[in-house]
Amino acid sequence: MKKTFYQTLRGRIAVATSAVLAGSALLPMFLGGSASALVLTNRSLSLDKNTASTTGVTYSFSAKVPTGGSTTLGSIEVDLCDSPFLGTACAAPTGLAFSGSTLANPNPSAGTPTLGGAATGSTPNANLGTGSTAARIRVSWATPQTVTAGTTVVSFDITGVTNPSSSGTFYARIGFFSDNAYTTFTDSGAMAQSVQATQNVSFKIQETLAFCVGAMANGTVAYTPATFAAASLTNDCGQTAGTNIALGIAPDSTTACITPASAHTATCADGSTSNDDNYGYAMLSTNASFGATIGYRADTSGSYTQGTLSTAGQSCGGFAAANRDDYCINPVNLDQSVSNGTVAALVTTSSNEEFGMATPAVNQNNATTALALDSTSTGYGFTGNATGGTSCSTTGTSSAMDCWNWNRTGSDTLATATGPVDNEGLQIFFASKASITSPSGQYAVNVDYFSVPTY
Amino acid sequence: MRLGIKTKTSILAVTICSVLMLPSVAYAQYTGSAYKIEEAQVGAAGSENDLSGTAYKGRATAGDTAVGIVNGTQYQAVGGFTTSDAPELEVIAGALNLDLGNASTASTLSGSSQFGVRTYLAYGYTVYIRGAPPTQESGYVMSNLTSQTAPIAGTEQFGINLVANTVPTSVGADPVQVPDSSFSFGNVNANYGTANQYRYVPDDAIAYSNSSSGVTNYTITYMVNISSITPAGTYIFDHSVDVVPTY
Repeated sequence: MKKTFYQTLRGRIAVATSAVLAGSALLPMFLGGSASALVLTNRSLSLDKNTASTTGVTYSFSAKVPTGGSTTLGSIEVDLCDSPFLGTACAAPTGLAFSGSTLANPNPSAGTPTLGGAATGSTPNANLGTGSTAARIRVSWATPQTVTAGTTVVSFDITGVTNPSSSGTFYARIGFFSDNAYTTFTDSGAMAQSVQATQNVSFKIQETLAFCVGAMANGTVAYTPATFAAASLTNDCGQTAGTNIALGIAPDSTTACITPASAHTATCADGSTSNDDNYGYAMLSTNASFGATIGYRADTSGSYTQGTLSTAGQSCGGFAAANRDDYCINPVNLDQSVSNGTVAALVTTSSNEEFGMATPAVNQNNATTALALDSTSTGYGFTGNATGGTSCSTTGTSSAMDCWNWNRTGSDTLATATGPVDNEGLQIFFASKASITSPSGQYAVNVDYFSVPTY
Repeated sequence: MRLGIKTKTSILAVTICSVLMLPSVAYAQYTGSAYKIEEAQVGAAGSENDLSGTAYKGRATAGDTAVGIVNGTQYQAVGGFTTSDAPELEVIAGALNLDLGNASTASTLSGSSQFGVRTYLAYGYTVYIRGAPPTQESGYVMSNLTSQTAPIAGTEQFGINLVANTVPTSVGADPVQVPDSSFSFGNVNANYGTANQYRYVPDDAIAYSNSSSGVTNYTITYMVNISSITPAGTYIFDHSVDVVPTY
């Protein structure tokens, strides 16, 4: 019996072992799949805009031919679906469309790659999906290309795509074919991408204007135009010495007093007030995209109502050569029968009266913006001197001329900019000469300056 | 003599029977003078067994369930009873309409938003930022910082980063790995990873992971400064994040 028992056990062992081995042998048959289609590696899909519903989006596809994969590439099909499972039902994300799309940057680039016949459609290749609701795009090479397994990265862009209308993830199933008719399926894969709702960050910038005028003391910034143009000006007229400018005391009827009287025309210095040391300046800063102007008008309110130098409370009958004995100093142009607001030279004969303004220089204050003078016949952008430059002419004016101007009845522009202005300065000179017949007295005029930005 | 033969036979029988127990079968206790085996179980996975006696102690396990992502520089595996074979991408970004307020040359505007990324069965992902710099209604485009720069009030600047900041104020946050860094592996690109420094170049890579990753929540901080001549208007930064996984 023992022998029988032992023998029986040996038999059982043999049977059990055989069963195990038999089971093991079966396994490889169940684990194997198709040996012909491999999975593309390094697969990716990139969008240049990821907001839902956006049109004109470029989809960039990229995939590497796998090691052991097909070395002939004739065509590619991509199906955009709601799942990545190749061979199953494929429904395109709502709103996604290839309508009007074009092919760009294909690699391989040889062999005339194009969007293939029936380039877009809705029925996927059976290896990629089923149904008829896919968003399908196809690319084919007229001459199938040789690619290197494990090395060649196939890529292409599809432009003009409309993104899905809902946020979320969608999938691209991509299949390669060795022929250019989407028949001989080779390698494939799937990738995911997503679109999001609108992402907006916003902020506001208000319109700005900082405009000021003041009197600059000659001792703060020297009056010569070149010095003023090169000086570092403190923003917002931070160097102003008030708003009064004195032309001094004319020593005779042939001397024109020009600001700053104490230095520019020293014989006009009255010595009794520091105001004869001043000249005028303005500063402008604005973010107006379309630029700005600086202008002025004579302020006829208050005690000085004649729009030119006059004594307080006076009313003058005229401002031409025949009116040199009243209590108004004729503007330089009107005294010489030149139109109001048109340039004229300072005349130093004893009989003339003249009052005028010039803007000799702009200070850009190390900015990149450009406030520009007006040196036309109706402008003010001239030397600021009585003589020494080119003689003033109403025809063919230039900034090198010794011209002066005044507008007694309206407003005039002194400087302009075509874009934003970054704390730039404008120099302003006044000049006056009395006639031998001008009554004595204290003459003054108020000037109203303004700036008009265009946003 | 016969007794010896019986003994051999008995031992042989016991040994053979033990081998034939596969797969798992619970046997009666095995004891000897120097050992004791209680509730031995050989074969099926999933259990821990204590093996102990007065002269010995041991624990044995025939295996346990592995769940989640394991990876190194040359490999990646995903374990679990119900792992999927489908590539997956999830970008968590709700609609955003963030108004930073009114800009001034005297101070810096800032604000932040969040988005999250999760990928599955990917070699990694790269996050790109898409969109022109803030643009005004007439078409003026703000100057964007092309290299990491600190904010300067009164100078026209636009930039972003993806870390926690103290300048211009306490704003932004470092990436947060959900639930922790053993499951999620997102990182900020170096160009956007310096606190209090900002940059914006359209189509730049701003974040990445080198493997599949659970959710990493990123925070984008936006920084705006204007100059005295930056045109007036309402500026809009219309942008999106393009997450590109590689499978």
